[in-house]
Amino acid sequence: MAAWEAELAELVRDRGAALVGYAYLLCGDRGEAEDLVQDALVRTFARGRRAWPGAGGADNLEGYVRRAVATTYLDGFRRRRRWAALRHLAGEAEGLAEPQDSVVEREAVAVALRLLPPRERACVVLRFYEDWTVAQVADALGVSSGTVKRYLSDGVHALEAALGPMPATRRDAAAEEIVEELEVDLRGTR
Amino acid sequence: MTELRERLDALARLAGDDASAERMLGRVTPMVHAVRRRRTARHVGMSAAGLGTAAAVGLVGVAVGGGSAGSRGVEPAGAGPSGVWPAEATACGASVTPSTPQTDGLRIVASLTGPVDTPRIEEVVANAGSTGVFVPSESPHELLVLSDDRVVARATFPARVGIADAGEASGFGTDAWPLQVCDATTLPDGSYQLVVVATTGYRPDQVTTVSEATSLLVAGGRASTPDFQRVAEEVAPGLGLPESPDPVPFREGSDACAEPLPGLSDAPALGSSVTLRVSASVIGDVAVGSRPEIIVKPRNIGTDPVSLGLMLGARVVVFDEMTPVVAYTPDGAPLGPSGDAGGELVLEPDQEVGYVAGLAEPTWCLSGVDRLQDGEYTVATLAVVSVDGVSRSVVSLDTATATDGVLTPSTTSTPYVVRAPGDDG
Repeated sequence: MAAWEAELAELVRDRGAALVGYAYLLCGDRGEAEDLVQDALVRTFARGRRAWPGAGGADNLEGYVRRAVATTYLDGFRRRRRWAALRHLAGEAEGLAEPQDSVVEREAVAVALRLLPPRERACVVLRFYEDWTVAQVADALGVSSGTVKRYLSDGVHALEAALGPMPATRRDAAAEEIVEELEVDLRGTR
Repeated sequence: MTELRERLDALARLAGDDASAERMLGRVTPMVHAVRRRRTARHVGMSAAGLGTAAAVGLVGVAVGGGSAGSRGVEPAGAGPSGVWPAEATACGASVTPSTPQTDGLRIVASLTGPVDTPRIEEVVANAGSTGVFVPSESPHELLVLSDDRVVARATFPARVGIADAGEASGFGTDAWPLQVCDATTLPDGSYQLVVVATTGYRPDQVTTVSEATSLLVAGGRASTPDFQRVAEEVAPGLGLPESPDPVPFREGSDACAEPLPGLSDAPALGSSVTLRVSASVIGDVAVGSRPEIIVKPRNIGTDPVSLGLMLGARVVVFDEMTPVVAYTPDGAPLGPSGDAGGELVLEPDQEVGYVAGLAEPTWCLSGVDRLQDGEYTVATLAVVSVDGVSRSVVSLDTATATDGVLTPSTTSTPYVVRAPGDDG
């Protein structure tokens, strides 16, 4: 077995479920999530080790694949945005096998997330689940930071309307806004 | 109220499961294999494209010197007590034994083509072993030209391999690359062996591998490696190596304009047993001082194998309405298997091989003409082919189009058909 095969097998067996989960948050469809992860894995491993910047261990490799998942999703999103804009209206909440005690809570999150427009959804997942900065999200989506903030604000408001208030999320967004404004000020004084 | 991240995390955990992971693994692994193979082939293709000629290959049936000799050790000048041979230390005149693999399964084959002083290098690294091999990119590979197992010329070049995964192959090439010739200003015409010396493994356990040898022919200041393609396909089956040029030079000859091409208007009667078809074409700039190339392709169109022996390059004449315009006379210099004395190639049914040769400067048949005018031309190529031990002349007629002085063969060539020996009709 080639070295990359062993790394691929280890990554998929250890972290494949988490990767699919992450992709599911982005796209809202389990089958599409598997496809996204598959595409990302092929992109990553077809390039070879040298193409994984800073990939010195399994964690870094997973991080690289996660980024490829996001890129693949966003690339596809850009190509199919007309379809995506319609799909969330027509789609039904996908039933997920889950413990009975959390069915209501998780189903609510899934539905609320699914109801977000794709760009808002991507912003929310990348920012609040993947911990990307606003600037990184803006770069990935090809939009301005201000637009991302608007998406985040709208997305969080929509989620709060469905799920209740999320003070931690608001604090987080507000804090980041302050930090970014400080950074802009600092750059301006140099 | 839980934080949004926790809710998302809980949702994500439900979406994936172990079964989906195994499903993905089963699908992704062959896809990555396929993409890597395609990329490798494409990479080699790009290298070959850089060699400057979209021409065919000589799959010449000559022996690969030392290729099957197995491990016999290396005795270069300056070899350390550990037996490890720093690639950069190979000296002119050092004795080198080809085919000294120090890493199981790793095979390297290289080609040298073009002007002998600044040839182009192409290399394929294949790992037929069961584990990956580290081929450090920071250690340049050394290409050695051997005569009687002694180094007579050398070059070092960057070989960006990194990890050679088990069962995989990669290829790369250089553009014009300086070849340092020992004890001479240029490499004399003749037959040589070509090996690559590469360092493999991690420090401090690095070892040096000397590749098996490929034949190198030098004539008229041009180099060719006629068996590179065959060996590369052997070490990296399925790599999808593109056809690459393999020029074998002609030598300057006498004026061909006044000599009619035998068989052009008087084709010999043919028997019933068709065995070989020969097509040829000239490509390149046709003008004073230019050196276009000729491609000759014999193809076995019979049902039995054909033993293709000596194939002598002969005259090439470009006709305009059957009036000779320009001619090249290679003077019987070898083309194809004859490049190696006694060389012989068995062509299986439906197998085609190609030979490419640089042509000497043209002899202009019309006074005052020094450049081919745009238009349609007929290109007649005379070659002497030995089929199953019997030699005969064959003439291939091709139509070609000249645009801005560059002759491009049409796709509707008229290949000459050679019948079985003794079946002259």
